[in-house]
Amino acid sequence: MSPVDPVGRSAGTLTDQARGLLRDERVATRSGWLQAVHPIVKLLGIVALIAVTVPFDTPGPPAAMLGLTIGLAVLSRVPLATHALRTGVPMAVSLVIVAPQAVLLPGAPLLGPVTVPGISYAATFTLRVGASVSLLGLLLSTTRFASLLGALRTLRVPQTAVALLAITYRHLLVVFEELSRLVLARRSRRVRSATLRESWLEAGSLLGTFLLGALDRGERVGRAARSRGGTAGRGYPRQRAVGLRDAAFAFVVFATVAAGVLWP
Amino acid sequence: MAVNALTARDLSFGYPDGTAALDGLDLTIEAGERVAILGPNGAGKSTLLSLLAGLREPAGGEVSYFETGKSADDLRDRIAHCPQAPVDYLFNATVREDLEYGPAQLGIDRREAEERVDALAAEFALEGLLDKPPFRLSGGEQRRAALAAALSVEPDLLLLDEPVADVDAGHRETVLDALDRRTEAGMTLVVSTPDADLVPQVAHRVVVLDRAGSIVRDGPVRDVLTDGDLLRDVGVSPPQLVEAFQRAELDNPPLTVTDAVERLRDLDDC
Repeated sequence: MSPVDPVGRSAGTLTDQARGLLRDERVATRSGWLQAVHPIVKLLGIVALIAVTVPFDTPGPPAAMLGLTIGLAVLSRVPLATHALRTGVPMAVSLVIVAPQAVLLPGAPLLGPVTVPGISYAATFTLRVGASVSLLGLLLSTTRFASLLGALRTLRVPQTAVALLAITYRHLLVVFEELSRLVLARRSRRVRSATLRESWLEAGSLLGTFLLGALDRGERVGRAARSRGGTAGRGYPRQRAVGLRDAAFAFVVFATVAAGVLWP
Repeated sequence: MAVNALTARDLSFGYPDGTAALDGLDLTIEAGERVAILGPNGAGKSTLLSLLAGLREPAGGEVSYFETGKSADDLRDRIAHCPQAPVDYLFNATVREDLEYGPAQLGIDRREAEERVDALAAEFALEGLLDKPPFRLSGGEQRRAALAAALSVEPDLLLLDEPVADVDAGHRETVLDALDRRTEAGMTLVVSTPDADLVPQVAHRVVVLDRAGSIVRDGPVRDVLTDGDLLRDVGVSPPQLVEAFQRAELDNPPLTVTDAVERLRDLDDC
């Protein structure tokens, strides 16, 4: 890939990141604190922590929750840079969306048109998003996808919803694998640096080929799943007994929820 | 009288761009038969196999299975199809989950499924690969894993697209032996391939497709594969042993290396 090939670079980066996020289960199979927690206990605990974070209208509790998630990430040997990136991007997007409230909400002025209630609202909103995304990120990175689906089934989540999740996950994998192949083929056949204009013109063709290829590949994978008995994504759960780590995690969740409920 | 494993009547299929792939094709395969679909690239072999597996809707005609009147979707525990690209077939997080996928969808008891997975892993030399993501395997490993996954439902009818493409010589024997064992136990095997040399190793009957997707010959392997002119006309190279014996103007050409050795010894004795 040439240094002036923004299309190839962007597509390649997007593909690598997405495939890494979807397929790399190395963190989930590491020996870590959250990895040792039973998927059902972990799923319920994370949902409880998100539920207790969302109602707050001051920035302190969501900030504390964000801090707790960083601690959990360290204990679970989740790569902090990757986790920070996955959490930081949605936080930044939320901040951009909510930033006007910093000047639109009436109240005591803080700096120029920025008001104290306005900045508090923007910070609370952004931190709530950050804490929730960080909790979800921890759940997804420390739990194998098949175990997560098994936990949802055990918790009697409607079969249609679980099947939709399984199909969406599989289709995303297929889509990004197709993009990866396309980027690699394009790179292997490039004999000179493309100009920005050439790259821009190629982008349309790349996108069209990618969409057609992804559709075709998706159909082939769908046929393969159908030939093997269906697309429901049922699997054999890897069940194990609830142990000390589960009790410890449940205690952390209980203490946090209790603190959230009793917060003045 | 043997039951027909598969009966296709007046089967037609066209691609969305209007290209006709198959037109009015009739094919009957008896239970326990080993049939090869032989044809050049673009003849519609893979399309035919997916139609026979009930994975595409034909433009016309119908396929029936085991004389039951049931659709292929109702018989997924008896019919398996392994496509040309194994990477499309292996879509789970690990090879083990891929081998378990079919039994899980069909509601087979977990313990039984695990026994099947362990047996298949040993048979196809996949023991060290079970916990790896399928996309990290080599082409030949993916092929073996896909075949093992197809066999995990213990089908009565296996439709196999290019079964040993990408497989190295050592594992090629593994795959062919596994197919032999299944067909000796009664499984019906339909294999598609452009490679005439493979046909005698997997089939007793061969159906030849031309580039238009029509059946131009259907008969015992020896009769069809020794007809070099027919094969060349449709764009398929005759088996190398047949070609060699015919060029040397020797009659009764052998189809397998074992047969060839015997013939050469006979010639030497003469």
